[in-house]
Amino acid sequence: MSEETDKSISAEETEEEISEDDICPYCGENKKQEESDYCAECEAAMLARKIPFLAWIGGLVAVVFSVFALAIVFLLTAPSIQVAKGDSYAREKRWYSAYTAYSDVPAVVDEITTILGGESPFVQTGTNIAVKKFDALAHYTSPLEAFYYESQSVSHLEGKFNTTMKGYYEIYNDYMSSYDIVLETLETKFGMTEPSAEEMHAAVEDLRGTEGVSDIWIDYYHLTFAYNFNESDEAALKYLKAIDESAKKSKLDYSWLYYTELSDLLYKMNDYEGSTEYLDKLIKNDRTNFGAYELKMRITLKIKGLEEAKKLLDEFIEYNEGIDTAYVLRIMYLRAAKEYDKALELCVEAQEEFATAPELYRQEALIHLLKGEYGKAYEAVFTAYSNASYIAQYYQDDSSLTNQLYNTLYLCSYLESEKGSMNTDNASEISNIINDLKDYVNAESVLDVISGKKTVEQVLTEGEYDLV
Amino acid sequence: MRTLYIITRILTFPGAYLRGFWEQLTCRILGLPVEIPGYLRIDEACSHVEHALAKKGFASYLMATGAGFMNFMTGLPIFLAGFMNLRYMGITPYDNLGYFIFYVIITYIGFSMLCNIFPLVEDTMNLFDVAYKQKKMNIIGRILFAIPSALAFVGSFLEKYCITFIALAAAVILSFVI
Repeated sequence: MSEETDKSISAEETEEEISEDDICPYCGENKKQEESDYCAECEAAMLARKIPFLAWIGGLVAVVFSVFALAIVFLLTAPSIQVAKGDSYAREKRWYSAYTAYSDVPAVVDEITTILGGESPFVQTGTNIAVKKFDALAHYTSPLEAFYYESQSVSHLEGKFNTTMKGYYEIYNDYMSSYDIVLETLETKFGMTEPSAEEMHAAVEDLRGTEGVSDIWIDYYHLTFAYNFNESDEAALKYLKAIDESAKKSKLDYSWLYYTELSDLLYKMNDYEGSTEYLDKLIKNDRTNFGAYELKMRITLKIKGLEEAKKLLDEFIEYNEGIDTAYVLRIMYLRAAKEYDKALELCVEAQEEFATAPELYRQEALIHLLKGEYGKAYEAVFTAYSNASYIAQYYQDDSSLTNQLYNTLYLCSYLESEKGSMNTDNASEISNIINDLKDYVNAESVLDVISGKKTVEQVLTEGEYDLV
Repeated sequence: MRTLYIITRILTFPGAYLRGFWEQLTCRILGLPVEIPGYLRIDEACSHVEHALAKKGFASYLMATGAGFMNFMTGLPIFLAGFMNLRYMGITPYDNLGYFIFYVIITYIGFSMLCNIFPLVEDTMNLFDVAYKQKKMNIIGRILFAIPSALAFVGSFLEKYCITFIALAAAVILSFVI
């Protein structure tokens, strides 16, 4: 009996052990099906589990909306690439290139609008592009100039939360308030009389500490008066140093206000090291600052020679390839290296790409002067002058009508009339130019050539390397 | 880590919910029983459904990559449509508040979907076991699916430790800052 009982117990235990492995893990009661992890009942229940209605809706909406979103992405790709290009230039501090890239975004959007046959609310340029464009222009020129050209597109941001524009508005409002107070004070004090330089300096100095007038602008007005009253370079330098001191105390960046002036003045005063120090700062702030590179190139040619100048040229080209200024600096270098034919070839190549860039024609004129081709020089510089006048008239941008252009125009006209084979067609034109400009010509190098102290070659391939 | 995982799933709940849906749909298509269907559960399987492991090669591949693939394919355009408008086209609340909010929402939804594209580690382990160890997938399939499988394998660990969420969030924030 006991043997039988033992046998039945051990049989039950074995049966239990087997059945535990085979028991459905979900219900813990029934036996699993063959080749399944669950019993038939549980598996049927699991397979019959409904997907929630909300999930079906969510999935469907996601699929449909993703198709719509894909269409938006396709439309936005071209303008976004353009903005990304601008951002990349801005990160490298190539502000002119960045400004150009941002300026082209609306044109790309317009193309898409044309393709779509109408404006789409999903393809619009927003305020941040206007801010980026403003920022690029402010770095390339100055915040005040940026307000002059771009204020309309950002005017709605005044007093609103925008970290970029906040600083610019501070500068602008500070300038405007100082300007209004200074102007009112001078008008009240002097009216229609013509005050002396000392009186003007004293009147502005009296405003120091007045609410609404910043020290930096007081110093800047001193500098302006120094220039207007033809005060000495030392006096101008004193005011520029004062501006520098005031700028250092300000939490805002005012380098745009005086670095160029300071480097030019130091150069004029033969302090090439000091000038280079500020030019380097300008270049560090803006890799597309042609003015800074051009002056540094002249200093380098003057004190370090062609080899170092070539390095500087390569650096400029690295950041400005495809821009007309890259051609100008290259032509200037070739001129200094006395490779006139190569320089002329480059002029022609550049003019094909940038047909209206005045500086390219002025550079061509300088090379013709060096080759003694005064007629061609006159024609080239006259084209430069015509283009610059056209730009000034139609685009309200007179930055191309430089002192150097007037000086070149005068010298070319003078040499053509004196030494060239002036034809009857342009004879009266040339004599008119000579008459109109003779009182305004101020470049020492031009006066030296006219007086016979120096030759054209001495002026353009040594010394200043330009008509300045 | 479990808490962080659950927090990130909750933060990206639209994508987490949709991933759960795609997973359950895949189970239904493949005839795999679903034990617990809840998509947003407070445990380490949050945003997944608990299902029987696939026993065939292609089924195991689909279970590991199908749901994530759907979230990626639908989430990427949704994310980009919002992100490109905000980041590149420069749309701000000062332009059009309605559109701005719309773009912020779709950027968030797209982002949440992209944060939920990788499978559970168990599913990728099962894929490697079934398809590559037991070789229940033919050689062409094993070669064709090698890269996506490897990506799913790595991604499942990244998602387990919330690295996908952190990396994506950092990338989006940095793109606006830089």
